Amino acid sequence: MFLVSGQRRLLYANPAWETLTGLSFADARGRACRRRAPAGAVDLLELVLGLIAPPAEALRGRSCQTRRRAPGPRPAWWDIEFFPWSDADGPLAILGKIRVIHEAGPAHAVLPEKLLQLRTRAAAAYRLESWHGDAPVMQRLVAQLQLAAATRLPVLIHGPPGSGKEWAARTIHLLGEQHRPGEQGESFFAGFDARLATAALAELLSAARHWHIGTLYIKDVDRLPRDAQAMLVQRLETESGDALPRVLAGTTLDVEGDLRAGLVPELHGRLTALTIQAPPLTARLQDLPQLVTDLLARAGAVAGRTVRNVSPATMECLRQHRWPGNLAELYRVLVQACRRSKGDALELDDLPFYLRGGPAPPEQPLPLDDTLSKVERRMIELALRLAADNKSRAAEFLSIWRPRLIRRMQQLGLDGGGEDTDSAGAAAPPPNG
Amino acid sequence: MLMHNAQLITYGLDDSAAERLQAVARDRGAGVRVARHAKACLNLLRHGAAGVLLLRVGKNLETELGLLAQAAQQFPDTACVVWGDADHPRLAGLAWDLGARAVLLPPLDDPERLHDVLRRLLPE
Repeated sequence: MFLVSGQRRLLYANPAWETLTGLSFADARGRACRRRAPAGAVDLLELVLGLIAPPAEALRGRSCQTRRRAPGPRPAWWDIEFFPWSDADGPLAILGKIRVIHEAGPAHAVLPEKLLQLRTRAAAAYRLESWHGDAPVMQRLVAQLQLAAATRLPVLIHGPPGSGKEWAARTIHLLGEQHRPGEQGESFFAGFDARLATAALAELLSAARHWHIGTLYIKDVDRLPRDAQAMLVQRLETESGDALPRVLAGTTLDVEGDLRAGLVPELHGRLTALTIQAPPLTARLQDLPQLVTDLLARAGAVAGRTVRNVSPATMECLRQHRWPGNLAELYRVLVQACRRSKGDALELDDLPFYLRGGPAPPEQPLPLDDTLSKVERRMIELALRLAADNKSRAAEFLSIWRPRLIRRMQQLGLDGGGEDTDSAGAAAPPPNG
Repeated sequence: MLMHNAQLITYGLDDSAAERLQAVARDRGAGVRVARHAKACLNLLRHGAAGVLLLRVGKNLETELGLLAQAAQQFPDTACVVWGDADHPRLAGLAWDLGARAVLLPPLDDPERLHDVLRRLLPE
């Protein structure tokens, strides 16, 4: 525990603080606690005073918590909670409480080589060359990916579902690592799902540096709850560049239309500084043969088959399709086709039926009211037949009141709807009439 | 046989731990399938509907993370959740990097948090 004045001078520290830091309180009393130590300083006291410096939020009178790398040879972190005591002029003093978090295990620094090789193998799929293509949209996309990798600005990747937005984000991350080799050691990519809670995003942001996460990709950023958006904006504004991972975001919405409506303005402004469009598959159909070849190996592995190529008729069929699900749909189709395939080339019959049937049929309307009327008419006719045209009995079969049956018969134009042929209208009330 | 309901596949969990997840899965109309070997786990993913793969890590990291990498790349519609008590900061980063949708390693590894994450990631 320690106490810092509103002017950030150390007023008090308990014996546990002395044990933790190895410093005498007498030497530290009255010294300024400032985050940035003087240039060239390696003095432990200066370092510790910098670590316990209250953040701006505490100086504004709000309780807060921060995690800082502890000094000393043993790898550890300090979670420091700050509790300000304020009056109208600002904080009088700030109480600090340090909790030590040790990094476990002697192998804290690096992971075994075998584990890192998994990452190298997985990352090979996302290299820049995977975006090759002759289509003009692809050449523009490659240039944009290179530009995005050269900066640490937030980037918004927009495009239809399944068009490869997360793939593009991973490419940016990998290229960025090549631009800044060894700057921060190994740097990982995290793909955050907006369905998870706001707290999960806050925890990930707080632990990102500890976990060596260099890039955070928020999938479907427009689905983030408003409080999560506000928290993200606040952290982007108040925390320095190194404290947070680089933020990339993906959306299927139109950037200036629906997305503007779905995001708080500050987040929209920050994310749209640099935008990249992941093109739909139909905009790169000239690259389809190469894409199919690239995806066949993966699809074949999933299906447990070795399929090397596709027949010309199959390729033509794939070219004719409209691909509303884009690359993701192409991958699913190839997996299904590989499962059906009996040779080492995909034939037309291996494709799902909806692709083989040529262009999709024109969209048919599905009029709900008409359908319900037809069903109701059939039910009333059946009930009347069972009741030998006795409306009271038919109403009982249908669990409705007799007057309602007659009204519906009139509305549907059924014979006998206008007549009241039986007089047994005093039937027991039906359960839901 | 093809299954059409979403499923929660667990790997590395004992029967009693998997049993405790039944209620969470049932809330989402999903079934729980327990895989004890990586190959069996991939087979379940291959023949089932997209859902969640819950990987308990810590016993054999190479196999567990290898399975994660393979599952995330080959079955992009399945959300992979990594859960365990292996306390290594770079391990969490690596799990995210290999394609996990949620990583619940210390200090975020309490079961309540796991249940909440599964509820959110299982399709409704």
